Amino acid sequence: MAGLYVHIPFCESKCLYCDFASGVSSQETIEEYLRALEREMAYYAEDDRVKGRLFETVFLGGGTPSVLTARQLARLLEKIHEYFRFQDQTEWTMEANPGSLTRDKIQTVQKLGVNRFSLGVQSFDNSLLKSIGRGHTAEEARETLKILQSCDVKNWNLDFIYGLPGQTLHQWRDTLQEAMKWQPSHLSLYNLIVEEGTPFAFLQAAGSLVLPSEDEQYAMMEAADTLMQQAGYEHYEISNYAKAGFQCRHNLLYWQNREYLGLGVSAYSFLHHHRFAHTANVKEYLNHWQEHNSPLVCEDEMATPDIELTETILMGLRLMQGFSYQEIDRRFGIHFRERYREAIATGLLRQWLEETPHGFLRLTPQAIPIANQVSLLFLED
Amino acid sequence: MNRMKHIRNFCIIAHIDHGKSTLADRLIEYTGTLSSREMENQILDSMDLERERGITIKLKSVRMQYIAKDGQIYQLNLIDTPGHVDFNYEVSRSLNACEGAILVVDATQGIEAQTLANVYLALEHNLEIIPVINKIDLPSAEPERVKKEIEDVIGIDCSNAVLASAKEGVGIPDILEQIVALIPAPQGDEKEPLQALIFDSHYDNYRGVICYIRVVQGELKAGMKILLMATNKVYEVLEVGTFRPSMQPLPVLQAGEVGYVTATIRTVQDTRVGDTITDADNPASEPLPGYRKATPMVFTGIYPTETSEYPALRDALEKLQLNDASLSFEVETSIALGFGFRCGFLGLLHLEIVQERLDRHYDIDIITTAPTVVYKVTKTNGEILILDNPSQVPQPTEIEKIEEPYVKATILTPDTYIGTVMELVRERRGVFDHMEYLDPHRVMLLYVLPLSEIIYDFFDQLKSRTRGYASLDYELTGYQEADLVKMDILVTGDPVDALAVIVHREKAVSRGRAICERLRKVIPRQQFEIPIQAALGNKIIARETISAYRKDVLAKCYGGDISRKRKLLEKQKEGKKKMRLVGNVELPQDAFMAVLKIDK
Repeated sequence: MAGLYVHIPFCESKCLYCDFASGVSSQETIEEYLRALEREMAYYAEDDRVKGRLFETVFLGGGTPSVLTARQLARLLEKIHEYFRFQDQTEWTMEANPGSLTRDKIQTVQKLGVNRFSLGVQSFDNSLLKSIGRGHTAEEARETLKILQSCDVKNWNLDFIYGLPGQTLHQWRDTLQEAMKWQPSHLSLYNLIVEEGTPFAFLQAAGSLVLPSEDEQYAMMEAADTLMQQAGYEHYEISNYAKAGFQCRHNLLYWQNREYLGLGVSAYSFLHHHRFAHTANVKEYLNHWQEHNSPLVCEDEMATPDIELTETILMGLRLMQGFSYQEIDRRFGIHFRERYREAIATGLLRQWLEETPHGFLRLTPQAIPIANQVSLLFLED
Repeated sequence: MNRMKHIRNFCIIAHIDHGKSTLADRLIEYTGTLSSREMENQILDSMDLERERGITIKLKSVRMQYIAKDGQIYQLNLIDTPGHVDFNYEVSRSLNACEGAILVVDATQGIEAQTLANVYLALEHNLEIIPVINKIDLPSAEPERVKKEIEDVIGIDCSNAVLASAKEGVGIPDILEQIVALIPAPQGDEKEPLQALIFDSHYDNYRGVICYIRVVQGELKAGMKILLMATNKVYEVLEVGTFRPSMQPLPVLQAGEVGYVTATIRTVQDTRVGDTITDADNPASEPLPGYRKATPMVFTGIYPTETSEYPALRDALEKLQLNDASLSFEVETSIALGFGFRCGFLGLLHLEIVQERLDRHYDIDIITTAPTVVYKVTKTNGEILILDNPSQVPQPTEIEKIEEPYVKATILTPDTYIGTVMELVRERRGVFDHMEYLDPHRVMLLYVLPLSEIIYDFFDQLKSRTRGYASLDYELTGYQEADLVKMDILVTGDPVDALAVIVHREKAVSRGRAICERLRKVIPRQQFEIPIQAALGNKIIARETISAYRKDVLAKCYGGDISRKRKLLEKQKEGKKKMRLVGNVELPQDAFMAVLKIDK
């Protein structure tokens, strides 16, 4: 079991809140990057940790994979098929933005296995879209949604952000209500994080980024949850909702702290208890591939059993179903309830945690907004 | 006696930034004691903190050899003095080791309060004062105005004052000649029983305590048994010598000379500044006059952030005390903070120095409670309590009266800020004494005010309200009764002992409000609502509420975020560990200083 992630670091424009390795590049750079990716696939295909593995999910993320041309996408997917092996029921997701995702591209990638699309709509309010630096309008998003539906895509996600500068609860509700009219099978609703180094962070430091208050953001979170439940979406991860059977299997691998291989610039992998990452700089990445036959790994951390256990708990708590005592015990050879007796007791006492009849430990609904506080209980000194 | 004719012992009196260290460097360089290449810049200020703040805290001495224009060789001993009000007593001891002082005044600024205080101190010790007008190379220099100011204010003749620029090396030979010509040679007799004044000491890991001394009578050499007259302890001398500026052993130090002595002394507690060293086998009949034990004026509680660091904190304080006889500490327990120490300091700068040492050199996280002065509480049953901790104040019904220490403060300011300064001092319960014009534009204001009002950011306020132009000096005058009350600070309804303060009744409400507001800002939101209250007895006089947090969750966490987010949470946990759980509320370190740092 493992997932495959492929990073496409190109966008039509850079959003003001984004801290991913991404940016606007020339066609030459894109071509060179895709050639480097092929070499990287060839390299990992022969890596002992990868060789012979059956992958069960593929995720083309970014950046914006949909900025690639249909021809480039086809070649990329063909190469992925050439170098790696997949299960029959593999989930193939491609991230896309309104505007750059055309009917032609959808049909091209569908033929090559892509069966899930994730569209970054972010908002249906044009003024908000503009103020956060999105390169598309609400109308363009609607156009793209129509195309997706006409291409018979069954498994698809829409991304939205709340807590944006100037955003009101009212605007947020409107956006969500429209979102549900389109009946996506999956929704990711993210509360804005002002990440270091982004234009938003600079604006915030300068005092010119006015975000909704903590109470307003809380209200937005609550409103979203209510609307989602009413519309029959299951809240399955802190920021994710899905119709039954449509949870994102690739992301579930992360939340269960399973293994994955990441290809491309800035991509992380978690294989054989090592978490490692490629350089996040496109130029450096390309230069390196011109002169070497192996990827430029800039970070490689060995996850000790303790670290892996901690990360499994932290990620597991993000899932609304929580994690199974039995599974953790088996995976780490520990007695979880014994080892975390105090943390569990505190969590139960404060009604932050609950145990299910099936032997799962999970957040209570009221603890979801303060999940970090709950996680802290499980960090050992 | 002929020997002493060629010795000159002197110090330099100057305000911060007026150029004392640079002048010392030039003298050392000019006399060839060290070549400029060997000189680490401004060698007399060797501690980090001193350099950063431009203040000399530990005084040192240096011996120079100078061939004067008369062809004779002179031994010049420069004794460095601290320049901060906290260390007044140390200044007076080092002045005692000298016969003269160079008064350095900045030609662009004029006399400052600190300079004035030290000049008066020097005059009290009958020191010959040599005025030097420094920084004459600057375009804004006004040497004539400054000369007149010195003559008017201090009353010393400035017609022959040296015009110098220590930075540019201008006037250095003239200064050296004046030292030889004007400063009297020391008096004393090497045949008399030994009397040597300790004017400083420091602890060295290899040699034990090194005492800085001025031999007044008799002589001192290795192998002698010496008696320290105040502490009544006997040691055998290992080595005597002088600083050039590194330690250089000598066979003997005789009356009139300045140098060092080492014996197997393990703590500076035994070598009190101002104490007299004598010959244990042939003791002097009297110690040198003027010894007093330095008494701490400001107290705080110092607690380890993590209780497990208590032994490390004790060790660190003990080590600091090896080198700092005026630091006192004793074990204290607080309901809120657990085990810690009540520490006494000469003043706020001294406190800051110790805090920084604990942090920088010993790497111990500490919580410091708000500084307090020593109060005298007379109970209705006649009992008198000396309190250095507000939480010890008895019930109001048991109190007859509370007295607090007062100081006489000298403030020098340009006349445009008279109103501003007067307003500040009035806010701090100051009582006007008198005012004097030093020149048409500079004024000296004398006030009597409570020491407790000075330790609450008075100096910072004075500086900021006068755009840095005013200067301050103060001396303790004694205790006076005042209408003081203990104010409790309640967190979720329970008084926190480490936050209690003593305030003047009339100011209780405004200060209570300010403290509550400050606490609301520094205490992070927690999962429940936290009321913060200020109370006099049972009466609540101020209240703020910290609302519960609503949201603390990472919105996004995918493959590239896992270890980063774990580390982020670990950091959050570290931050939590540094907080103190009081009742069920987590208080950060800042909260305990909130009483002091009140926003205006």
